[in-house]
Amino acid sequence: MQRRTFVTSAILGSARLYLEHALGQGVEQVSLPQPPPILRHGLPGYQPSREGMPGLYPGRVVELQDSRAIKDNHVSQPIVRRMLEQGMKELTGESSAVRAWQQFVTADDVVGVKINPSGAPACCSSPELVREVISGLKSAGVPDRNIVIYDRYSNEIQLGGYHALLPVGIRIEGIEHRAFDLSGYDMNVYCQACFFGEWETRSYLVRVVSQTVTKIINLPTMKDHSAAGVTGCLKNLGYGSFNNVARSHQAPITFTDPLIGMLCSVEPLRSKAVLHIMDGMRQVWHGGPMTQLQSFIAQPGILLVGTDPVAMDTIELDTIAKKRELEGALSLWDRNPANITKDWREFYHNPHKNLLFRQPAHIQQAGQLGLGVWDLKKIDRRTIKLG
Amino acid sequence: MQHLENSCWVTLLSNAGRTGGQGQWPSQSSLGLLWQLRLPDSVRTSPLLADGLLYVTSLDGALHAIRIDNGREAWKFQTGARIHCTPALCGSSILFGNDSGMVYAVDRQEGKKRWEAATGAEVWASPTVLGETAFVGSADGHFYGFDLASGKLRWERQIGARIYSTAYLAGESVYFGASDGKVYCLNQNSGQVLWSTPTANGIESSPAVVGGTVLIGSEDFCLYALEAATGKIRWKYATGLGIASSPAVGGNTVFVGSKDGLLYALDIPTGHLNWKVRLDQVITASPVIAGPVVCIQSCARGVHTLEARTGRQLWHARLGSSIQSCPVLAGNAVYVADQQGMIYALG
Repeated sequence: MQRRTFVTSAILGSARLYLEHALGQGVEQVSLPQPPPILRHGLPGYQPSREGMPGLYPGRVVELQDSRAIKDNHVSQPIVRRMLEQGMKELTGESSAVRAWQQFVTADDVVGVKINPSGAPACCSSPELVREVISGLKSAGVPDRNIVIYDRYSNEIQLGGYHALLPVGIRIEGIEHRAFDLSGYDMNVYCQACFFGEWETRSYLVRVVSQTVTKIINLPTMKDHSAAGVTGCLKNLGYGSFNNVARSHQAPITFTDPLIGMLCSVEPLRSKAVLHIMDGMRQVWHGGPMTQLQSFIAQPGILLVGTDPVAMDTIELDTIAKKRELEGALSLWDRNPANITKDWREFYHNPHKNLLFRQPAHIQQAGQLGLGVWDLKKIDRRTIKLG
Repeated sequence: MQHLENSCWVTLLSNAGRTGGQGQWPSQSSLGLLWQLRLPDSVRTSPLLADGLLYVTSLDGALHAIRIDNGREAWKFQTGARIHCTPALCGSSILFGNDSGMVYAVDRQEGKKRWEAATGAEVWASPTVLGETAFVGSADGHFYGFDLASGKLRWERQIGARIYSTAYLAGESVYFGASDGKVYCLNQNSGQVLWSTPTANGIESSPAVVGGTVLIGSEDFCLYALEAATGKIRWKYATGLGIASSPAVGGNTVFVGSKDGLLYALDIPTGHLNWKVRLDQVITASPVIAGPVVCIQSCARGVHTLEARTGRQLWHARLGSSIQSCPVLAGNAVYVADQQGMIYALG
């Protein structure tokens, strides 16, 4: 049976709610267009897994903090190791990190590690964390050759230096090597929508997800995002696994809400993404995801571990929003047309400007698609301070 | 436009000395576009130049030989995988590796394969030749010595870490870095590890050796100067981010780019900073030196030319965005390859 689902704007009740949130702050509002219908076409015949999002522990997020984890922009390998081991045990209730990893992967799995090299080299998935994830997978019995580090853009992987920083034997795959490179995508799995009259209305899933890997460990970074509000688990997975997604933005409008959640709910992406580890060693609070300006990159030394991407992104959103407030930056919910600039240079240097009307409500919308818990009060947030 | 038909730019940064100083900066006050050519895929490597042909490898899996007099392709040699390896020229052969782990020797006039040899993973490091042996590291964690004439394996040494660093040959020794963060010195004849010195993160940068000093960058943000004989650290200089760029040497000065977007000039004997200048947000390619100027391609802002002594910017072209491409400076012309697969001849 072909999985075809039309989703209409009925799911956008969340957007209205968030609008009220902003109105409560007395911010001048703009009326934004409704998104078009989005068709999801999953892999024909694929049987969804119960391990898929929101996974084995819906609503649970383990937050690990260690001030020693990053110093002078250098990430500490042993501290990250300790944080991850502690996080895995706390998430699963297991007494050992090895048994915790075994809840998610077996020796027969081919495991994709979805890194976030966007923004490399200043802020991307820390190679130190990637190395610890590889160690964890190997401890659970996954052979080197069955570990695939992947992202859509090979040039960003190369800028991040991952090839020269990871161990022998594992595979590192960039999907696109040049513009309009479709060779790495599966034409049978896509989302279809016409946002702005574009000629290509489909976004295809990377083949490494549909055909190669059996599980995905998602390693997003903690950043604000000029379109989505923040980029975390959902954005890294959705926009990082489907092509032709930039078409959802046409300044100052973006349809990241609802496209991000829709992409993440397509099978087999949804079922294969069993664990999310958010890298908050560095934290971009303005200019994300691409900024290289250190003045907008804090170094809090945080890891979030969970199986529920919506709950994790909700905490990320809360964290980034507070940081921006502390720094005197515009609210992520700002909808004041006067704060929009067409000059990306101005945006990248000025936290009082936006390029687009950001859509942080994409997280709640993903929750309403069943991908996780979006209500902060209902999230089982377990904070562990290690040092 | 007259070109230097006999100019020879035979390996990464021009020659075995890694100075990039074989060529010279054109004397014209401004450069115009002589020709341009679009290859089918991205170029992540540096071109070579010899006898009127520019040799360029590309992610399309081919080695392209391009005539510099008209920008047309003379021949191409197609492999079965992407190429991230800057070729090396030795006599009538051109050597390079590809992402399926093959190393090729191709006749440089005809474009015909002379031999191929297999390694276990991608070969991004450029082969280096001395005498009858071609040396190259592989991402399979081994360093190889192949017979130059036949491609037969002479020796291999298991390092246990990915090798993307192009080796430097000096005296009886081979120097390179690896993903375990160590700088290695091997005996050229046996492959025996003579010493290894750890840095604090992986190494992609390729070393230069001058006056008994090994100069190499690390992802731990530092440029290292090591004693070539022992591996002892003479000095290290911290930049703002990792160093994938390979150092180029001119006189007592070493030039290197950093991912922090700055180009650095340091005094080799002391490690003191002569100057640094911001050129872009990110630099991962290597500088080349041509007499009084140093030239480098950055990730997004193209080609930059600076006065080597002071760092004063002389010239800039907003073309040639590069991850690992270095410009070829050939007297009255400059050849530039970029991430989009464009090849430009400027003169």
